[in-house]
Amino acid sequence: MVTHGDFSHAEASALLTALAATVAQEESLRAIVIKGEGAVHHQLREPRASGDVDLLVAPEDVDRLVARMGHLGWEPAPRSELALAVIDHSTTLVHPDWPCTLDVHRRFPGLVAPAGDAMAAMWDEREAILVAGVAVPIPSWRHAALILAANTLRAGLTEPRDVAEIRYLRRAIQAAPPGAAAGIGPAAVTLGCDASLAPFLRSLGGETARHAREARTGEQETEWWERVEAGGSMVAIERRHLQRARPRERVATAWRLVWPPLEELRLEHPDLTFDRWSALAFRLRRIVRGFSDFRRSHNPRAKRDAETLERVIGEQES
Amino acid sequence: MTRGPVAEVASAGRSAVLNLARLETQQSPYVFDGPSFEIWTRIDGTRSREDIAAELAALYAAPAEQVAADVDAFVDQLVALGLVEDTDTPPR
Repeated sequence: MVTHGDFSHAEASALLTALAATVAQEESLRAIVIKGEGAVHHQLREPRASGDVDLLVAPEDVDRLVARMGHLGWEPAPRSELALAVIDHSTTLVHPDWPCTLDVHRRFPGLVAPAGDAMAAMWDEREAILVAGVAVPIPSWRHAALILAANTLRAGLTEPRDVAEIRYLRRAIQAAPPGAAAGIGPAAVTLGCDASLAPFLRSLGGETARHAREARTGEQETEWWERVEAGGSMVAIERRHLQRARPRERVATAWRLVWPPLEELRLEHPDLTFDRWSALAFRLRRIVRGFSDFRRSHNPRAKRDAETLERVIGEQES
Repeated sequence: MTRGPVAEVASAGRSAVLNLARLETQQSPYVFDGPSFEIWTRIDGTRSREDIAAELAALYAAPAEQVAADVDAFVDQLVALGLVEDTDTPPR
C-alpha cells in the first residue's frame, strides 16, 4: 500500500525546502532559501536538525507566495495581537500534516537596507544547490554569512548555542580565501548591516573591520540594538509598541502587555496547556522576567553592547 | 517505467517522496520502506515490472508469481497517484 506515513524532521525540512522552491519557481517569484541547507552547503554552520525552513522573498512577491502555499494546505500560524503588531518581517506558515514550519520573510532583522534593494542584491548573486533532488536558490557565501551573523547576534549572544555558532562562523570566514572574505565588508554595506553587525565585522579584522559603522541611524537600527543590548528580550519591542499606541489606548495596551488575555497566551504558546492557575503562574513569571530584562537593559555592566559582543565573539573557546 | 517529478529524501532502506506535480491533492510525503522501498528504488527508467519482480523474488526467496502480483498492485497505485509513468504496460 502506498501510504503517507511518518516522516522525520530532517526529511520534512528537506522536502519543504524543495516544495517552497518549486512553488516559487512555478509562480516566477523571487525567493531564496536562507539559513538551513544553504548555510551547511557553504560550510558556515554545522549540520543540525531544524524545526523550520526560512525563505526570504521579494516584498512584492510575498502575498502571492503565501496565497499559493495556502492552496497547498499551508496557512499562517495563529498569532496573538501583539505578535502580529510587532513581528512584521515574516509570516510563519504551518500545515497540519507536517512537523515543521515555513517562515516567509519579507526582510531579515538586522539587514536594514530597503527590503527590495537587499533582495535584489542577494538575488543577483544567488547560487543553487540540490535539496531532495530539486534545485533550490540560496544566498551567495558572503550573503549567507551575513544573514547567519544577524540571526545569531540578535539575541545578544546570551545563549551558549549562539556563541558557539558565531565563533564557528568567524572561523569559517577567516579560513576562507582572502578574496572571498574581502567581499563581506562591502556586502554588509549593501545589505545595511554594517552597523547592526559592527562587532562581528570588527572581530574579523583587516579590511572587513573598516566597514563596521558605529553610528546608528534610523528606527530599524535603533530597535535592533535595543533588542540586542537587552539580550534578545522582547521588552524593548514591547516598549516601542506601547509608544506607538494612540494615547487613549496606551493604558489598555500596557495592561495587555503586562497581563495578556488567556487566549493570547494559548496562541503564543500552543505547546503549553493553560488553566486559570497555570496561566496566573505563567503571567507572574513573565512579569518577573520582564523586570529582570528591563534592569539588564539599563545596567551598563550587564548590557550586551557592541564592545561586549565583540569580546565574546573573539574569545577562544576553552 | 519512469518516475514523475518528485522531491525525495532517501536513506538506507527508506525514501520519503513528495509528488511535485500534484501538490494540491497530495500535500504530504509518502514514505517507502521495506518491500515498497525495494520496488520504488528500482523504478529508474531501465527496469520493467517483470525485471523488478524477478529481482525481488530472488531477494526475498519468494514465489515469483506472488511477488509479481504484489509488484503490479503497488506499481498500479504509484501510477494512479502520478508518482510513476508506465508506458510499458497498457492501462488496465
